[in-house]
Amino acid sequence: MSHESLNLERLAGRYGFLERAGLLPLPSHDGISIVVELSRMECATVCLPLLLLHSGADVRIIAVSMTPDFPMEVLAGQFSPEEPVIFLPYEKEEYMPNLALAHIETSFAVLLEDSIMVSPGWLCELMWTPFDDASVKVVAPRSSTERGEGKKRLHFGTHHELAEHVSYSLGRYQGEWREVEVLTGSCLLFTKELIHRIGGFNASLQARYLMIADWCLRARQIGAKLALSEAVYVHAIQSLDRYPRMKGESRQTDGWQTYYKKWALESGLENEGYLVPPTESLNFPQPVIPLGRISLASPLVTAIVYCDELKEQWIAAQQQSYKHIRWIWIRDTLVDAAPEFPVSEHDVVITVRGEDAWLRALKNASALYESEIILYLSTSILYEKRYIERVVKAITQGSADLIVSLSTEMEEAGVHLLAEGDWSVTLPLERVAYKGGIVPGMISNRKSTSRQLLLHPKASLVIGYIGDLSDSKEAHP
Amino acid sequence: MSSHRWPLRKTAGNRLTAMMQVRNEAGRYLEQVLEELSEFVDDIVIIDDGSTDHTAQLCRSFAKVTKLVTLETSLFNREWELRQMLWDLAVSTNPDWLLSVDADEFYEEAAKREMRRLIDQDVYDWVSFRLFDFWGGTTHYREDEHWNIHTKYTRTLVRYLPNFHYFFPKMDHHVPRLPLSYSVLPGFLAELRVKHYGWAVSPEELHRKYSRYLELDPEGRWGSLEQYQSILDEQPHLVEWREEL
Amino acid sequence: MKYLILSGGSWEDYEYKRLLELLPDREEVCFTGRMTREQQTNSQVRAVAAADIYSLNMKQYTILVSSPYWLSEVLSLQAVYVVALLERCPEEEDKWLWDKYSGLLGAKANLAATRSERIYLEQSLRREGVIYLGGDQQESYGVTFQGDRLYFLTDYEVLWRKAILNLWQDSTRSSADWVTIQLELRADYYISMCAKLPSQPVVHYLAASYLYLLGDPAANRYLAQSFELMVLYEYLDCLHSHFRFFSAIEVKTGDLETAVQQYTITAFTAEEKLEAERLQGWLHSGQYELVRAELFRLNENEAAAVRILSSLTTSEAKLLLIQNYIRIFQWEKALELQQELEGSVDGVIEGTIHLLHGRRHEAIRSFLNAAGQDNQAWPLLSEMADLEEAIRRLKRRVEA
Repeated sequence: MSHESLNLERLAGRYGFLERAGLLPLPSHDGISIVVELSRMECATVCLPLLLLHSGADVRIIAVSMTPDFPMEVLAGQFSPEEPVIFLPYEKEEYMPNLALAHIETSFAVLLEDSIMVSPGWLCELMWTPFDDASVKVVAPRSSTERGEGKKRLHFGTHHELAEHVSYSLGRYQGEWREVEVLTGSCLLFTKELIHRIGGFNASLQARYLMIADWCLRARQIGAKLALSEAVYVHAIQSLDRYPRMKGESRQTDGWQTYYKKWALESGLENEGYLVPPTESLNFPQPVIPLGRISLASPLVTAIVYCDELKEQWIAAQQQSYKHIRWIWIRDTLVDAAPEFPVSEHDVVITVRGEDAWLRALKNASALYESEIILYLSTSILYEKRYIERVVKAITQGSADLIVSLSTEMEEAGVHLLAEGDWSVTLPLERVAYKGGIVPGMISNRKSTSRQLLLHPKASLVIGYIGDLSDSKEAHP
Repeated sequence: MSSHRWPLRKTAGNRLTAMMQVRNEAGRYLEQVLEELSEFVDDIVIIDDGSTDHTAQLCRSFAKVTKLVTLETSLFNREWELRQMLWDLAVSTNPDWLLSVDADEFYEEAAKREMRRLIDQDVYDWVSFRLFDFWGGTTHYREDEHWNIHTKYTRTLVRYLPNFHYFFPKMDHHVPRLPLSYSVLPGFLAELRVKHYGWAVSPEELHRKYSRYLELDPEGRWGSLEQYQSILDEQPHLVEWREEL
Repeated sequence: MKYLILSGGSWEDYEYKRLLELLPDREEVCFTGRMTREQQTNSQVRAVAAADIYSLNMKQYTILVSSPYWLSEVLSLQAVYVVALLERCPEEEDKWLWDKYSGLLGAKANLAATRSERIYLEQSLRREGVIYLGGDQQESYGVTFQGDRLYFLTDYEVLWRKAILNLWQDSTRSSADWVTIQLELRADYYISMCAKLPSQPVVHYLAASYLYLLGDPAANRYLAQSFELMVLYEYLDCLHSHFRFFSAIEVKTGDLETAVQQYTITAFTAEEKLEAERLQGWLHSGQYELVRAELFRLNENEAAAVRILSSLTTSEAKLLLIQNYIRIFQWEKALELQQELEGSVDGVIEGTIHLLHGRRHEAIRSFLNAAGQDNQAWPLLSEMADLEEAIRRLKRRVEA
């Protein structure tokens, strides 16, 4: 053996020792997020502590309830507030993992089901793979939940036996992984960058493994490689829940049909469980499944209304065609002496005294109530009937973060501004609408005339504008 | 209640139904067989396996032939199907006892006499007889190394039990004439004899038969090549038949 | 819950140690016999001398018995919860004696458990609440923390825990879910084996058996396959072992008259012919419940027969019930009914009950009565001696 290769071997040995002894940190500067799908309490109470124990110091867990009756509060009660676990309760109409993925802030993330039991050393080995090869964006360990080459069916009497097996495997096969065509299992590691590019899981496929397979194929479409680790094994606990069988249970085949159609697979192969489409299918573009909440047909708009004085006529006149609105009224009793007016249950009236308080309330109002879209309205303007509707459309259909609607007299000026690329533009607040969850910028008062507010938008925002009657156009920084 | 029969095993008044499959038997022993059968059975059901002569007509001319099914094309190479079809046909007449007969088989007098006694009991569900292969004529039967079926018993007479499980092995040749399931039921081995005239033919006809066998089964998969060969024996060992009255 | 173990020998030889580790609600486990201090610490089990078990408050204990020769003890302890771990007769034991007293133990237990699939099937036909301590699944089906150890459970270990928890609940609920789950697991396993071994009559028969227990008419198909294969392979003695079973399936899932016909086909001895006649008689007179119960009994499914007969009130039904009780070793119930109906009782049965309850003199008297005038008492008294000897041997092994 040459001097060089002997040295390499020694270094590898030393490194391997440190890693197995848990003395090395994870190869990621910002730790790791682990999304856990909660559906079996008995498993979850064991899965989460094991993850906290064996995934290194810098782990945060996002546990999502996959069914309405999962006893999330009971489970959450087992963890102290200092422990890095957050719980997202079940929401109807949502595919919970997609919701959770939107919360991910670390460069790497893991998605796994609560039936997965891990043992020491499981994570580090998986995480190194994208560093071995930068085009690898998804890595899976072997388990009984992978179909195909990754499938490994084992039983261990105790966790100790499992740990011994994995330790042996890590010792023997550390560093070994290979590229595969598809993955389907209950444990996946991937990059945040990837999910931002291809989005989340397609819930219409119904069966989890089909959703994972579909997602992996979409990853391959943008050039990402899928890797299967030879060294790491995680233990999936099967369920006896499908027994005893109810009479007349129908098997879910719809998911398969959808999958097969989507990826142009020959029908008839379902019986073999064949999942890999012909290479040509990977060229057909697939729709991105957005992370976070499923956008409802009519998102909730929070309309913050500010005024010099609130006139009942204004209220009456504002019969907007768009209905799904939460109204927030900000009144300064110093200038507005009108009596109290009736509001509906979910609307809010914030009453303050003095301009400073009024400005503060305005700036903070949007943070108080969550909604998809937020816009500002001033009672000094009479908005046309379909104003809010058009704004909603522009935001949901486009990719702009913030929309300005320009009245005809402003339009020219607006176009001029954008053409010049002058990004220190200020926008009249009463014509601004933006996506919930972003910080639009700074609100200030145009000193020349009182209570005419301006928005200084944040430089990173994508701003679009709509004219009074025209389609939205977008401008990018 | 009426769809089932009680008692299951009658000790009196059993109907005897003969069942046959035939193919181009017009010039041979069929007429004689049907005449003799008509003396001691109550019904006859027949499947004509694609005959090209007037076999079907001949069958129809006998009053006791209550069911006759003629097939357009022969099922000769799918013996299992043919057997199953004949069985289903016979069973559809709701029989008590079934006698499986070939178009060249004759029951000796003693057997014909005993028939009723054999079936009017509740101890056993099938009867086997000794079959004799007559050779070259109707006076002698052959007995030697390859020709000794008369030393064994052949099951041809069975009690039909509805709700029993009947099946034939799914083969193309050498399928037994009656469902194999009968082997598990108690039976009676009778010393009564049946005369088989299939080989009681001229040397030319024997030669033709030999050629046909070789054509169908050149490798001896369904039967022994030596036995086929022995058809051509110039000096077969023959024994004189003595009819017992 | 506290547990008391009555084993077949020493702690070293005890074969159910892992099941002890997995016991649910495991407050305390006492093993009758000798254990070293180390063994007790490692296993979290306390040793108890045989003489001291009477000082335990039985209301708080579940007993796990794995030898039939503990039966007298179990009866005198008047335990509330008894789990019988039934085993095949060990080589050194007398088979006849072992089988008889295992039968009695199984009948007495609230839950019967066994590692032998043959015993599992036999018991499933005789009683409710039987668990098979084996399986063919390659994966884990549950997790549990016991003490400081994290265990992964096989499918039957998950069911073992459920079965024991279920014991302490309301026993009037019929056939718990876990029983059905296990039967389905078995059925699925054999059905997959049938696909792999299409010419194997045994796997088809087993598939049919489990489907039958589940009340699934698909049992017919598998039994037919098994029957045909038996005939093709010339195992011709299968009319009673294979064909008669159709009649039981038919009772459960099909037509009663067809079932009687199917039985009648298999009736050849004088006794069987009488049975067939009786069935036909009941059929014609509309006593369908008796027909169903008898057909179950003739197919050795006494549990199903008992279910039907125990809700009937005629003396004819009760007489049949006695027969079933005797077959499945529910001898105390049999005696009670016998007393009620006939005024007199079976001496052998009565004698055995006396013996088990420690009433030697009464036992001898019953056996002598049963033997009658031709002095056939010797085999019965000999059995008494054999039993007492077997118990002594057991105690010696346990105390060793």
